[in-house]
Amino acid sequence: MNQTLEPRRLGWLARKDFFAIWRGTAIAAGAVAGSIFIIAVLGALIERQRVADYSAAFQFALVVWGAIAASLAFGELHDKTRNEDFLLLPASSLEKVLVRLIRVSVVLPVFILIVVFLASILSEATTSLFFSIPFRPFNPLAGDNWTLMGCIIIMQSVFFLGAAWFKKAHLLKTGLSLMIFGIALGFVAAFVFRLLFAAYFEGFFTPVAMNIDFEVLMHQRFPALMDTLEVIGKTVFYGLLAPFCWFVAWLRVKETQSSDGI
Amino acid sequence: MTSERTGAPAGDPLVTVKDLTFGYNGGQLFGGLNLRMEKGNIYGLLGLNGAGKTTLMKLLTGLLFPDSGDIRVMGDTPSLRNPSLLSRIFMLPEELNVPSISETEYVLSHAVFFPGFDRDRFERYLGEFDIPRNTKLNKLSYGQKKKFLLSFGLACGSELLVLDEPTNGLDIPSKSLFRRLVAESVSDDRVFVISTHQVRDVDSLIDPITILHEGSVLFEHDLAEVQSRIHMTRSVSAPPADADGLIYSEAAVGGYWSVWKGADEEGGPIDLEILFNTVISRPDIYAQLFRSEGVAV
Repeated sequence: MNQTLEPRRLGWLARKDFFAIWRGTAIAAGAVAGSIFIIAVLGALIERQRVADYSAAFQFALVVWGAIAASLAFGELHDKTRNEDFLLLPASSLEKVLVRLIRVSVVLPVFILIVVFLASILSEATTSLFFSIPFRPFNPLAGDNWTLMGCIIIMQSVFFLGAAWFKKAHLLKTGLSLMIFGIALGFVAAFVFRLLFAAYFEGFFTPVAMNIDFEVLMHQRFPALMDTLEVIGKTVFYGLLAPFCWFVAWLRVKETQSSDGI
Repeated sequence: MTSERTGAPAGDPLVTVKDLTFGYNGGQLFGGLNLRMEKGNIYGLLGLNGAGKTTLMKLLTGLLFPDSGDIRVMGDTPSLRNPSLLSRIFMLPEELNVPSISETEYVLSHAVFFPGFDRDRFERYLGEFDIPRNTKLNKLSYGQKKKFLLSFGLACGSELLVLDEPTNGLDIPSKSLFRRLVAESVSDDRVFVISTHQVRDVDSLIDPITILHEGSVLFEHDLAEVQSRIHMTRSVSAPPADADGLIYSEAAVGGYWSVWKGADEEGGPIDLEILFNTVISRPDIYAQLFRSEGVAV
């Protein structure tokens, strides 16, 4: 028996998760589809034109639902009344993490895509039939949707790590951590700008004019450095961030003990 | 030669613990604990509150990791949580939290992980425990949840069954049913570990007895061994404190329980509560008694 990864056990874990979450997922899908339908019909009723923006609805659902789902991916891991069942389930930590990862990063985005598509079909059919608005449903195959899904999967990986890392209030703590990280990064950038472009400041942090674009200045002054930073940034975001978060989440699950729920 | 199912050499103990140390938050609960559990037995794990019974069970099942020392279960290290080992272990915790799914969904989602799961046996246990069918598990009462998980655990064919306070919350008929089902489920290749404070619920079941006290195994003997070294009597009045051979005496309803050195000629019963109280209150005498007979305590 392979102790680390066996497709058969992945299937069993997926089935177990399905039984645990299908009711909640169906309710959430109903809420998303219902909201889209109501907005579309109300818009048609009041404005006599299409107001529903299915792409925006898809993006919103993907960001919000995706972040919540990723944050709850290991809901039982730090709950002492539930983590024993999870930890003692005869599957490896890698398999347990992989199944949750596939669920929130692949299955859920595709599922949201389908839900929004079906909701748009229903909404468009209704508004077309009763308000003579041209039938133009959401196009799930549009390239923008898939590009967005890629970015969301990367961002979700941070929430996925938060789910494994934090013991409680995973979504809130991950959000706060991201905010603190952003603020810290902002401060660093501000200090760098202040040092590099001292002539553009009066006092400590007050620019001499409000319309100074420091990014443009940086590109003008340090083109090679900015290109390098851009490459590094893209590499970190597109290539390293998600695998790093997934790896640390796996380590966290592997090292979790029953007492972590106390 | 190794056992095909366990991977451990045939005839080896199912559980061995060597020099185990463990503690919470920098404290030390176990300091060099040693333990062996042989196949075919139902071990009773006894101890005062906070002695570490549940902790030891969690260490045996890989829910906790030892600070140092070695734990082997069926030749494997539980803290690695290898699926092959986990599929041969079932633990019934004291605090139950079942998912909000039906019994059918539970079996569909869990039974596949246990290759020895016997559906017919499970159905029989559910019937005998009179568990309501087609009800979400989280809607069951505490006792019913416990009986459901007990049924599942007994049916899943695991070699190591770890039951933490299994009779808590069970009604009186269910307690005797529990004893019967456990007794019929134990086999030569299985070990049951039952931790309980309700020793009278399981006194006809558990043997050997393991008593944890102050971070180590204070007592680890089967009842036949105990009966060959001590006997218990019940009397209306207390025996003289300096009576020859008296180890321990305790007031009970309507009289006194007394524990004496020497085998019981008539093979009288051993009251586990009195045995436990004696061992805890007179560990020195017990150690001397068993050691003097060439038995390590």
